[in-house]
Amino acid sequence: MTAAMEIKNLSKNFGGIVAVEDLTFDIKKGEIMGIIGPNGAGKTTVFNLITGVYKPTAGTVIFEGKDITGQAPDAIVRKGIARTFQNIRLFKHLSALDNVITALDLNYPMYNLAEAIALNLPFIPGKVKRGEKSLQEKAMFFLEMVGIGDKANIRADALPYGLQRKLEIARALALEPTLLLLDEPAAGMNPEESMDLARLIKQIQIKLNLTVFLIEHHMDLVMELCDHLFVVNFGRELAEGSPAEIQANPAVLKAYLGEGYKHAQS
Amino acid sequence: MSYYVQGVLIMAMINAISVVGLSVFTGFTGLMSLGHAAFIAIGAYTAAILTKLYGFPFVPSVVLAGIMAGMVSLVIGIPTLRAKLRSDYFTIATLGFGEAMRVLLENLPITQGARGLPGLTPYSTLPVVFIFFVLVTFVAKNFVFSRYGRMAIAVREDFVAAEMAGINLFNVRLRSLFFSAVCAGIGGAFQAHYITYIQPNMFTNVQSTLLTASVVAGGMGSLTGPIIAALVFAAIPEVLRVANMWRLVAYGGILVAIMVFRPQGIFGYKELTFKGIYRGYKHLAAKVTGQGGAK
Repeated sequence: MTAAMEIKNLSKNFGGIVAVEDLTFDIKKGEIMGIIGPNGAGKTTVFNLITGVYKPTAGTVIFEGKDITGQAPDAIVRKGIARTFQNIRLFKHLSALDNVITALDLNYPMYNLAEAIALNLPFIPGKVKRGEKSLQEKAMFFLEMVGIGDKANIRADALPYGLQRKLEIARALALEPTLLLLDEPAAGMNPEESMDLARLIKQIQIKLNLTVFLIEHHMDLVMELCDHLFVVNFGRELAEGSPAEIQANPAVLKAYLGEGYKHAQS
Repeated sequence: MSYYVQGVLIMAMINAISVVGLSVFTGFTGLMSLGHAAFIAIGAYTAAILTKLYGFPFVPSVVLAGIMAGMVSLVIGIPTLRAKLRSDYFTIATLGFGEAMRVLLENLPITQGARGLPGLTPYSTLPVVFIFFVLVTFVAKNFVFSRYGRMAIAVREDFVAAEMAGINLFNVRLRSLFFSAVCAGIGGAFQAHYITYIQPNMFTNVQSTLLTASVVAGGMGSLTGPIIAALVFAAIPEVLRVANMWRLVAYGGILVAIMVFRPQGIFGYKELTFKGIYRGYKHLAAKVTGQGGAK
């Protein structure tokens, strides 16, 4: 398997605080990789560094063979990386459908500015109205994929929390990425819901042939879903390996999972 | 129609032209400006100089006034928006820009300094103003209800998420600023040729504040709301003319009342549509005749 993303010696300081220090790892094409670690370990910072929200202090991020370090977020999205956020960031006053359409626009610009302002006459069908219509159909595809097709016309902030998370995934998928970053997709869900979500993520990953990189604290979801895990603590690498290896790693058990983790599983 | 009513109507619509533009910028893109009077001034001076000193026909002068204001908006917009100034810092930058523009107008030879440009021809008649008002509103409506409007709203709602949806913040914000400046420029051109006299101290930050107040009071994220607010705000000083200086107090009182009772603005995020009026009318009619709600 080739690497979809290679991260080399990545570091980020905020003033005197070292958030991420010298991380090096690969995300292989087509795998689901997880990054775990205690709160404040620097997991979300890694996401922000990959997606250009922050500029790294040192190190490189290589995506599909190209150096994308320090590029602007919208440029990175264009290369095929999409993400969701730990604290849900939807376009609250737009409908679920429009949230997805906003993301579709990246790959399907249906008309230009002159056409938008001059040619959209009342009651007369034209390029703009046709374009909008076809975007709506495309957007429905993604809403249905995450199972909220019936909520298309509900305002994003009126959706229940769990569905907002799904809508965020739908919006990310509408960017048609090859690498999907999920920041705590199961946050605030009960064990049953989070296992449902795990199945959904797996299903989407296979269907769209995605590489997935996720942050999560629900260990049953992580162990079930991930092919590969990377563990951070205080901004540094603690361990890397398969879920089975990580569960057996004494350093991880001590720092994060807890000594009784294996026992509790059986 | 009496000359007086006509006059109030013209001023109200001129005001609304600028407010429509600012509504796209503030209401839909989420950036506050306290310097849009500068764009009105640029439009007013451009049109006045063209018609008075160069004998240009009026309508092309209005269009050129809009373009000129738009061009100047790029001068202020490119550095400030590229630096991704946070909303409040950007607002301060516009405040400074507005003041700087006024000082500039007071000192340029072609604007005749503080004396201003008197004796302009009163070209701003009701039909011309009305046509431009409809045109500007049509363009703004199409802009807002297109992919460009959607991008602007996305930036307003959450600019981090918007960026992660592949939207270039700088382009979206600059586009909205340009549009609002063009509208303000057109409004300025009409204002100059209605009052027939312009001087730099007509374009102070008080006017800028009133424009922004119209957008906020009308509803951020609505086009019809700010238009109605603009019309009402232009009419209030006339209605309250009997109250003399107290009308400024009343004006402030109305703004405070809106902020307290409807913080989202008169129209919030909604639009007033013909369909909506019809539905409201049916609902009201049903209530009056006592046959139950329309729904």
